[in-house]
Amino acid sequence: MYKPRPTFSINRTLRAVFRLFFMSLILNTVSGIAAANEAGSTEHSQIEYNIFGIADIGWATASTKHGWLEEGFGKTRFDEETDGAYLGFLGLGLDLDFNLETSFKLRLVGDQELKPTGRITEVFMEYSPAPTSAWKQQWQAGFFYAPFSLENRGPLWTSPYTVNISAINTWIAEELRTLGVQHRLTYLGLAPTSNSKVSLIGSFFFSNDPAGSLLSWRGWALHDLQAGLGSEIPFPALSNFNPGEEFENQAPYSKPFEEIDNRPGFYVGADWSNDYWDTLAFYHYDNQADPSILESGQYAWRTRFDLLNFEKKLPFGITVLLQWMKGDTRMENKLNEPMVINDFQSHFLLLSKRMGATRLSLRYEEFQVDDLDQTPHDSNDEWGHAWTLSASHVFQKRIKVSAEYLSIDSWRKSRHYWNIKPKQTESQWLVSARYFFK
Amino acid sequence: MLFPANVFQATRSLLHLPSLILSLVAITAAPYAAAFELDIQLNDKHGNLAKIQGAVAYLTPTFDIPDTAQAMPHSVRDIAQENRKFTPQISVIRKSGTLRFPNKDNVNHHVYSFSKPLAFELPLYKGSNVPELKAINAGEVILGCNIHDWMIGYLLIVDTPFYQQNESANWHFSDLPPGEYELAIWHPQINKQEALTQKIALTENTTLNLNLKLELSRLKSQSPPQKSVDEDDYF
Repeated sequence: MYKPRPTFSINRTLRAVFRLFFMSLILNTVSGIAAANEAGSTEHSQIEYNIFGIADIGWATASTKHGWLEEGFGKTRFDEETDGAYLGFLGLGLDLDFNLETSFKLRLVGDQELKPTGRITEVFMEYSPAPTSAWKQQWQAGFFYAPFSLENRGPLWTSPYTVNISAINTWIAEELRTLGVQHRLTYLGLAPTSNSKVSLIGSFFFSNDPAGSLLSWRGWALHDLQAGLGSEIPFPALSNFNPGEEFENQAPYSKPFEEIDNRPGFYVGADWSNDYWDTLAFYHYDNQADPSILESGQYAWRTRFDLLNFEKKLPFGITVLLQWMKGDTRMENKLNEPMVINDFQSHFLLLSKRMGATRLSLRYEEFQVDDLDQTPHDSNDEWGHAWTLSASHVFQKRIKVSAEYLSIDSWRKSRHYWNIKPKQTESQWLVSARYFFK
Repeated sequence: MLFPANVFQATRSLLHLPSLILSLVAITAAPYAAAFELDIQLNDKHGNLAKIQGAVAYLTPTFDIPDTAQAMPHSVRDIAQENRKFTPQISVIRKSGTLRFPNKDNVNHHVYSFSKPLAFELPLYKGSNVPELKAINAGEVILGCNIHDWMIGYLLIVDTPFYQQNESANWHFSDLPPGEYELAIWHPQINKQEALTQKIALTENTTLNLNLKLELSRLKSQSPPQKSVDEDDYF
């Protein structure tokens, strides 16, 4: 059974450094606000700040017997036990503009589902100098989302389309974050009259070593929760975590933003928009983790994937979003013998139409994990598909009310271990009210 | 309105009366011994009036123009940031004129250009004073906003008092002193491969019909991409 052991390591030192970094960022923020208040004018070179947030409540009914949050094999946030009226989340954002090129951004989310209850989902500095050539530069440093999602473009990484986001982006919200530096180089125009724009994106990051463990041991899920610094995301209660079993040193949860092997990961990508489409983007991600290392109850998982994103406006004001992800993840024991080797894949097609303050969205997606290792009692094989239909209306630019239906058909072999049929159909209705404030 | 009236459509653009008068003065006031009229029309490759708004026709004299014309006041041109757009999107100013960039929005803008004739960056905080800039060199200047990447503006700086911008692709100059000029037509949609310059010797009232050989380019839209639309709706 996993027991946390206090030991000295480079890892802990690194974490202490990061903690100091974030504390200084927060202190900076507070003193920045004080300075801005003292000055009390909009003269040039004053720090400007903007605080905003979202409060989300709702009501849901779900057919899932035993949800993943209760260490079960369900794929939705709610199950038969936990549905009904719910407090969705409280999100807070702070933007601090030191000038028009340099800003600090902090995003906090609180809910009752993931630990810690209140958590930092993003905290970073952004530097975007005015271009002096046709190439525009943008730097980000800190803890932030990579630009992988087409859905999550609303405030606090919410989706304007649906409450439950796609399997791909749910996984990104759970296990992927950049704790490092990202550089974006944008070619502003191939010709002054052309709408063609190309961006190249590159990043180095630390602390994303456990990414891939949830996809393996729990599988894909669809919900609206976001992990943050220090988050613990529960695995199903697999027998292999029991004392004396294969993964007895693994904690019963994933802590996705841990640095385990002190090796940086990277991603690179390109994003092209023009008169014919709004986005055609490709990214390659590799956390470069050393899969044989286990520390503080977390294995490092070597996780790599390719991501293809496409967005286009169709006739009748319909927007189409397409995301396609394919990758693999690998975990080994100390002898470098492979313990878990999985291929994973998912893609979705989302159609959305906005009529004034009303929006209708329909999403279809498929997801899959292929278990390629021979470890007994640890099948991670899974496949499934899901439909999401969502209608929303924004009242007075403040309150967004959504009604949403989600249906997931999935087959997961490991449900067998629990005497549950591998094939399950889950459906969920929900009504959500989001209050946007600033 | 797409761009502020210069010397055209005076009746419709009373709001711009002061600048109109300046411009009219620039072209018409000089009491030349002899003065001629010049009418120009620009047609597309099919022979119809070219469908462009805000094109500029300008005449650079190859002779020494009378002091009265040379000494005419240089124009002041406003390029506003309004509804997250450059307003007007297409402007013209005489070299040594003064450009002003009023921010009429409730958000900050950060206007820049890396074009050779006028490279600059101006932080335009909401509610701040209106900064001014001298148009020091002649040529084409493309304007951008570092905060709103989709904003794009075009500015032509001309080194002559004889220029006109019009809503349609025809221009009427009156009271031009006789002599030889280099005539040029400029608009961002006109293909750069198209040489729309020619020498004309003005010895009488003249009408010119110019024909484009190539298709017009698309004008880069100033509307924000889908990405930011929803966010704007909430706040």
